[in-house]
Amino acid sequence: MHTTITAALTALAMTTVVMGHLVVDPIGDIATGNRNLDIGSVSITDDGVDVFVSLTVDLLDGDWGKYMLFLDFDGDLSGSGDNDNPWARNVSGLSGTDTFVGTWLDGGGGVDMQEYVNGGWQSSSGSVWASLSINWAANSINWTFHGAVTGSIADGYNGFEIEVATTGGGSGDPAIDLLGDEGTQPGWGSGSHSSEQYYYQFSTVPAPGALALLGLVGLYGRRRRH
Amino acid sequence: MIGTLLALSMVTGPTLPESLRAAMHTVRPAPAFDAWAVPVAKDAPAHPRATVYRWWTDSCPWCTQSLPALEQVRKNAEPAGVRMIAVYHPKPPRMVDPAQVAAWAKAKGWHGPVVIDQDWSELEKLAGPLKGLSATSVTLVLDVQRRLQHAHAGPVLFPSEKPQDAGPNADFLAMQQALERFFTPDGQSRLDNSPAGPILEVDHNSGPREASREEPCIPPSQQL
Repeated sequence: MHTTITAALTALAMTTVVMGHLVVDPIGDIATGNRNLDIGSVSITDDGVDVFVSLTVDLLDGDWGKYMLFLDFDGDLSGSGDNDNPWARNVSGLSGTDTFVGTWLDGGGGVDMQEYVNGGWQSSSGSVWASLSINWAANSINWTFHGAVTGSIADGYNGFEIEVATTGGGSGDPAIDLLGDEGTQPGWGSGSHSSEQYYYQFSTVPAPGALALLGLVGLYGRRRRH
Repeated sequence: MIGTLLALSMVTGPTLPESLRAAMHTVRPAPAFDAWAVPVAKDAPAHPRATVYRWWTDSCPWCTQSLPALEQVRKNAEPAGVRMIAVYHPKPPRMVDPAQVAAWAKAKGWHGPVVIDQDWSELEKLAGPLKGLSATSVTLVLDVQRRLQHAHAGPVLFPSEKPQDAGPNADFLAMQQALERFFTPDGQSRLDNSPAGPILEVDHNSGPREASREEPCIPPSQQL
């Protein structure tokens, strides 16, 4: 079982509200023993402009390991089909994904951010971009999605659903660990299946001042699909 | 829908780690790869003056940029006496299907020989301790005596005139220059007059290995 911790930091004197949310995933719930792929926790916050996602695993490995974020902004109204991601990883249960974020650590690390448009995956030149930092001591990978809050709200979205997965370096590799209650995935040579995604609502929904005054917390929940 | 932008943390060729720097111009151990995915072409020169090993994976973005550039080099280098071999090393280390690896290489624009280093042991043998490397997608140039003559510590090299690609371009030019030292003056192979080079052989039990100069040099493609 995972545990969910929600925390909200509000400041009446400030124009933005920073909300935090942490999902804890058990260590040791993978079939392969690859500690760099064993999710420990994922936290998501925003400052009203940017979104910050932090993934902690059991033990990072600088030589290999791929980390994937699947984002869905509009439910199943649009987005990818099932088991359809730009890295050709064998992960089902994620139909409707609008944005895929693939990350690697070797060779200096990098982020490949793609969106599903007109029936296919493509890199976009939109206003939102991602940067990456790695905290080796804390075994954490940290993404900043610059302008994600403001850009998404401008597009009519108040948040997004997210799944986090770890995988290997080969096309067709499955997710070795998924964030949440899916249970242990079969491992290399098999498929994997996501049955649970989390919804994150931006801290600026409703307006920061109103949110702070209302003392709303826990706007972040989880959604089980299918 | 939210707009997105591809964000690559472009990395230029890092300074050689101390372990690799110390290995320069020293005789490296004979590699013994696990299997051929794509053998050396039957019409390839049997006695190369130098051999280039480039480690890569199918999902490595740096390899997507580097392999097509190295393929262009290979087209000139191979007839001029320099053998270039792409070394697939799965992440994580594990057994892989050579046919699948061959397909991945082709998809990346590489049409030369491909071997598999499934446990990365040959990378560590030739390049030194893995922990000293900032990337595993390294490129090594060994002469006929298996002395390490040039090394690129990865992860990316390709020709480009764009200012933002100055690092990969400089690394590519350095690699090209290093290889051209082994070319015959007229660009043609003088292999028949050269001492035997590090020819890879395949042992059906242990996989490809490098032949000693005393052993008969049978083109590896004929041994599979």
